[in-house]
Amino acid sequence: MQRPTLLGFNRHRHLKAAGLLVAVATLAYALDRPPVPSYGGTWLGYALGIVAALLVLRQLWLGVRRRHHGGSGNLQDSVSAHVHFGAALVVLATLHSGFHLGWNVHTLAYLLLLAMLASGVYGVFAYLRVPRQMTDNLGEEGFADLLLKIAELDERARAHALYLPDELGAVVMRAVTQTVVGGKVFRQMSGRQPDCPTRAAVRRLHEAGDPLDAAQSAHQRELYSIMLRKESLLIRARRDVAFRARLGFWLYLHAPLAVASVAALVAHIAATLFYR
Amino acid sequence: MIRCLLVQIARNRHGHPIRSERRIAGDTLRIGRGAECALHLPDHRVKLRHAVIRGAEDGKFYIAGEGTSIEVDGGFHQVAELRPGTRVPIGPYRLIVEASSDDGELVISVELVHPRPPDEAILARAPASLAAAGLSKRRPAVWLAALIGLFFLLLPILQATSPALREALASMPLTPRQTWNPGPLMAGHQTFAGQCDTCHRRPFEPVPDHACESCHRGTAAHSSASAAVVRRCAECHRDHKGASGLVRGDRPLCISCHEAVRERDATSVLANVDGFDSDHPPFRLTLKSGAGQDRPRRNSQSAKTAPTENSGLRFSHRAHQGKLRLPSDPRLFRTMDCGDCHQVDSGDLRFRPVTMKGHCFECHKEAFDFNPPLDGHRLPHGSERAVMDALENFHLKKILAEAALRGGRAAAGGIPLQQALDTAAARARKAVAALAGEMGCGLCHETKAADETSAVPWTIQRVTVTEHWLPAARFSHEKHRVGKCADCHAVSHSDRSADIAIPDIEMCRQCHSGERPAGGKIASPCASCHRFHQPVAALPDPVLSHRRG
Repeated sequence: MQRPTLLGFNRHRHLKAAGLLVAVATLAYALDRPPVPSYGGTWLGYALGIVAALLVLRQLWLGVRRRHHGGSGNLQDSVSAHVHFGAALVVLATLHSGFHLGWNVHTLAYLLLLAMLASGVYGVFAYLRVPRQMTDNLGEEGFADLLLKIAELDERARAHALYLPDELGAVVMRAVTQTVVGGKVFRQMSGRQPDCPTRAAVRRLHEAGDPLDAAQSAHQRELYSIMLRKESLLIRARRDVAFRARLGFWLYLHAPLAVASVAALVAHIAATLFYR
Repeated sequence: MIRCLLVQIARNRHGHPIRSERRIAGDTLRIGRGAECALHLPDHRVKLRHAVIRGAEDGKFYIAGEGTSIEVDGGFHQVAELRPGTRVPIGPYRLIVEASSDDGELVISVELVHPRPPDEAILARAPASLAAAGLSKRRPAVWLAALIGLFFLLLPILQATSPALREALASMPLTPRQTWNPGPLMAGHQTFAGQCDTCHRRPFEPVPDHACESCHRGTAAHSSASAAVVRRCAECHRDHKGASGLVRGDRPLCISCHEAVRERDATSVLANVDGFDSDHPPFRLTLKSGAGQDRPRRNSQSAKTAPTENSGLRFSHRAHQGKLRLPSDPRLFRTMDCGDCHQVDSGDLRFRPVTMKGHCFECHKEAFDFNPPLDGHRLPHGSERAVMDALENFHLKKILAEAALRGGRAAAGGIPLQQALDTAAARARKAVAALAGEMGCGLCHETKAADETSAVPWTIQRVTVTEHWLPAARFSHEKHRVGKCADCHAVSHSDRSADIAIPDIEMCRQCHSGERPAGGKIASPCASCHRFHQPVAALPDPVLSHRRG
């Protein structure tokens, strides 16, 4: 039997509940014949708005819980609920709007909600996809293991490089001292270092034509093999950084958008109550 | 052959030197990090072959850089002599020539003075997590929330409550408060679009009716009973719904009361209605029906009551359509259709009154000719008395003319005036009696015999033409131009003016359904025909035209 996933947790309990909510809201909207075209101010509009606002608070609860309790309790259960009710929230908010958009704070609140949902959807995708890719990439090892191996190879490279001509030695030393894993946000996300010194060292060591004696040639061959191994380790380490960045990036949008969304929601409610 | 005592100095943890010695020898002593160097300095800061020490004939020792100059005692030299005390920094090492022993042995101490710092960890070179790269959740969250709170909450509230700020912001194309506007105002209200307070008088309170009535004065209430159902103007009139505005005119607004109207209002004379396409009663035409009614009333257009119009006119629609022989000259023809007499008014809603002078006279002018015709003289279209006067005048002139003809033979002075007058009156009375029939006024007018004392032996019935059959209803002929007149008005076989050609409700139902479009018909809620702000008791007056002449 397949392991229950994030979305299918607890026999789709939250999926069913959120689906029911959406179905009831949609049915009510379809059957409702308000005296004026549907909008947030009809009885159904108010009802949908109140339910949607309560859902927003419920959704926030996950963020608050994770921040202050570090995800104690059954996190999988609450994330599953968060995802499904988040999707339901967008349907409810859309029906609440009666499909009326304009250049105003009401539409701003709606658009922020949609943006928040979009980042959340990406987050769900990331959580469903990236962890498997991370496991495929790292295997039994951890990120720290890779770094340890790289440091070890660097140490050995340093010893071998002593015996090579200066120019060749400098190339290797650059690879040892200037190779980088990570970087700024986009570098991390890309999982690459375009001007990687280790890559340059591999290429340079592969080139023949240096006037080397037999001992130096042996060192050079050894270095070439070290640098090759280091490069493959680097690729995996950088990919791991990229995966973690992709797994985490959306939350840097999702959380601020959630806060902004609540601020706009407060302004939206204040505006509708202030001028009735 | 150079013999050299190499003293390697290390330091213990207190910084005290620990010396270890070994001897090296060779024709030259090569210094570098390369394996073949006699003085092997294993550090990357030292060149592969950094320098070489050579002995001279005189027993002195010289050091030379390999391929480049070398730093000796603070200066750069191609070749420098090694004397006791000479210091040669090579990479992180420092070589010092110590006092040589007597046997010509070179003594050099080597100390690593700049040990290699431990390798910087690869993770220390660049951030490997988004948080380390400077991304923050809290910072943008706080900023976004603060900006939204400022521009969309605080400033609009300040603008709403502070007249000074309102004035300061008045010239801005988009003021903070306008971001609260849920939609465009209707066209008529856009003149005060920026001034929310025009309608929204107090914060957190619904728009009061007196805000509406400050402009819309004298708007009639529907009925005393309706006030309990529709409490506020804004229940039906919603603004911020676009330039065309939004007036509620839905089924529940009317039907909730009118489905059992007398339970709401015991004084009502209306029938219960559940919808236009179900049990809407037949139309009630406002007219003077039949012979019995002396004033206009509302007459149900049902088959049972079948009202007829008592206009006082005799008219056949059938005789006035198609290709017709002109009564004035039977040799001539004219083709007539509805538009020859029924011309729409300027509002394109109804029709201008049909008048004798404007419409009938052109073809029927011979009916006003005297018998025999007299050029330039006709009977007037007026009261019976005026007709009588014209006839007497005509006959008097005729008698006087005849007397004048005879005057040649008779005595001067002709006939006495009184005699002429009496004769003219007698002839006129004879002639007017004939006019009562279809050859005269009776062609178009209902006439009846007058009492004995009357100068004219008959009278014409007062003409009462119904101009507006359904005065309380909204109806536009313009919107119904898609069809021909005869599609709704069945007059092609009508010979009597009593026939009413106003289509009944069944005719309307052929194209119109109730509130929802059903069976391909046009959705027609109550408000398509009925007005709300029109008290049923007060029908527009006058609804009829009473005309003579």
